[in-house]
Amino acid sequence: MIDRAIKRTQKPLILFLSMAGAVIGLSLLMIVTQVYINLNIAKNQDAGAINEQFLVLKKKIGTMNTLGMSSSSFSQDELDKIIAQPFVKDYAPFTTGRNFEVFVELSLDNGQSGNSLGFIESVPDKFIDVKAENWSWNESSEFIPIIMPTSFLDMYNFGLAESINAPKISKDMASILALKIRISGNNKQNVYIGRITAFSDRINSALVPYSFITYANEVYGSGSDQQPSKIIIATNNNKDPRIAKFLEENQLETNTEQLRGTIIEKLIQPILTFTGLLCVIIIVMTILIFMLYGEVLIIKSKYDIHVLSLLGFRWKTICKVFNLFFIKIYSVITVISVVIFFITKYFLDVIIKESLIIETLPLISWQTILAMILFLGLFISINIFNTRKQIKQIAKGNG
Amino acid sequence: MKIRFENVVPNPMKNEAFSSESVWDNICEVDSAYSYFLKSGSGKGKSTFAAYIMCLRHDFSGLVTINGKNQKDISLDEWALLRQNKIAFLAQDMRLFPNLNVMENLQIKNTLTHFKTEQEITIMLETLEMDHKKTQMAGTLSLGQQQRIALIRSLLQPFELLLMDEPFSHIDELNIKKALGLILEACTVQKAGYVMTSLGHEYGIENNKTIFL
Repeated sequence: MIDRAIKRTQKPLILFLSMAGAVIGLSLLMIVTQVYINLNIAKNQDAGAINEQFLVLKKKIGTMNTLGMSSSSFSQDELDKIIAQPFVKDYAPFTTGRNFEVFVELSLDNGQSGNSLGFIESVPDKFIDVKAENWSWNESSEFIPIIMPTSFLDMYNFGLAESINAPKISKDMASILALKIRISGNNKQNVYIGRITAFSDRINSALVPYSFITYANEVYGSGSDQQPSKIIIATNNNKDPRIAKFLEENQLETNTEQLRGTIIEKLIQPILTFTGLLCVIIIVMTILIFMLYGEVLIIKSKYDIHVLSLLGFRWKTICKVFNLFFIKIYSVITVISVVIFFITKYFLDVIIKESLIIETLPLISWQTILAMILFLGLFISINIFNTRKQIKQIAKGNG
Repeated sequence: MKIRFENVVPNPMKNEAFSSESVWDNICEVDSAYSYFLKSGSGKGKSTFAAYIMCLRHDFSGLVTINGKNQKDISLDEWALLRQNKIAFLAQDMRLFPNLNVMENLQIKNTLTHFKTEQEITIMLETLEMDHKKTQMAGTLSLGQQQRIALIRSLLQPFELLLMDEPFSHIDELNIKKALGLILEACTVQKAGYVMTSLGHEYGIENNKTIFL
């Protein structure tokens, strides 16, 4: 009966607008928090060994390198710095030939032949993405197994072969071709037979077994060990934004055409920050509107509050009527906001999952719930505080 | 219950001179063991006097005490209890809830005090010829009808002192007598005193003290 005695002459439009404001503020706050958390999950996702990804890092080649004024190899300090990065799970430098010449000659059955200067490198087997047959070499071996990049075969088949009307070579065919490999250096020279035993999608280089490169360096190499100019690293996620940032800061390059982190860092973060800022502004404005709404409501009910107090009702009892009314409003705001949040989250999750290749995202993070509770807590406490203050004033006869 | 005014001067009247009989700028005690008529000309502060007792206004100099306690030191919660159990008040402007009906206006007080049964309330309404208006909205009643409802409402609580500010200003003579009957009966039963302003005619009430303003 008390709440009927207080005739709340509400202004439905103002109430509707302030509620809409609160709904926008709250749902936006929850969405921003959740997206932020989801992106962090994407950044730090530990997909485990199955999804271990690899990147070949090298220095950007600039004019200085060409002129020989700046080294394109990694110094030990630079290597240490890379290895120390949190996203580096494993690493290995490329082992390259040490000052010897590799000359490759290929003769086909139809009499055509070609030759070229070449190079050989080696990385530990676990970094190689293909299983090559007979992937070993010792001095009694018949031939040297070689892994070439797939792009090399593609370039030949779809570029050179087409333009000179030469036959295309399949992977199988390529593996039976015998390559004459002449290695010379350290005043020695020898010819070996090489066979392409596999094609790699990951490593853009001519790879030979580690035992061969070691042997070749010993026999034909000269000078001291060269610092590597390429390093392969294993990561949990190549699109970790920290990688892109690190590469950019240290003038490094990689063969991966697109780093996931770049998008997050360059586009999403500023948008998130902006939206977060917008959120704060909306929340502050909504709180102000609600404060005004509450005050107007009480001022309009001043007579009823005064009479209730005169009849002997405690001010707390009168407050309860208003608080109950506000709690109903907040419940409606919360329910609508949560619904909007989940609908928006559903669509955002689809985008995040597709673009960042993530399997599962949490339904709602505790941070989001915390943000919601803080938002509601702030609103409710400001409202309760204001209502108490005003009703006490009126009950005292000062209103 | 004793209510004492010590050198109280309402701020709007602070430049006025008061007679030696006046409450203002004087010592005056209202004792619930007695009943009082409040007499003054118009504009001398009868409603102000009532408002000061009920702590509805604070615009005065001097001291008002209730049972020896400075009225300004009484908390809101203590006031709630005083208004529920000790001091009944009938305001000049009735102060009903216009959007509640007659019975609801009475029940809202009674739910707080549980002082009368619904039947007793109905009998009081019958006495003042208001029982047929039970379900009518208070806002639509005439002033005289509102005054009778407000009077009944003020009696729906235990009290030591009944403070009435011009209680019969809109009521006809016949109903004044009936209303007075209710008031006097309630005061007798509760051994309570009353303060009544502006009766003009004394309707045979004797032995009342008089407070001059």
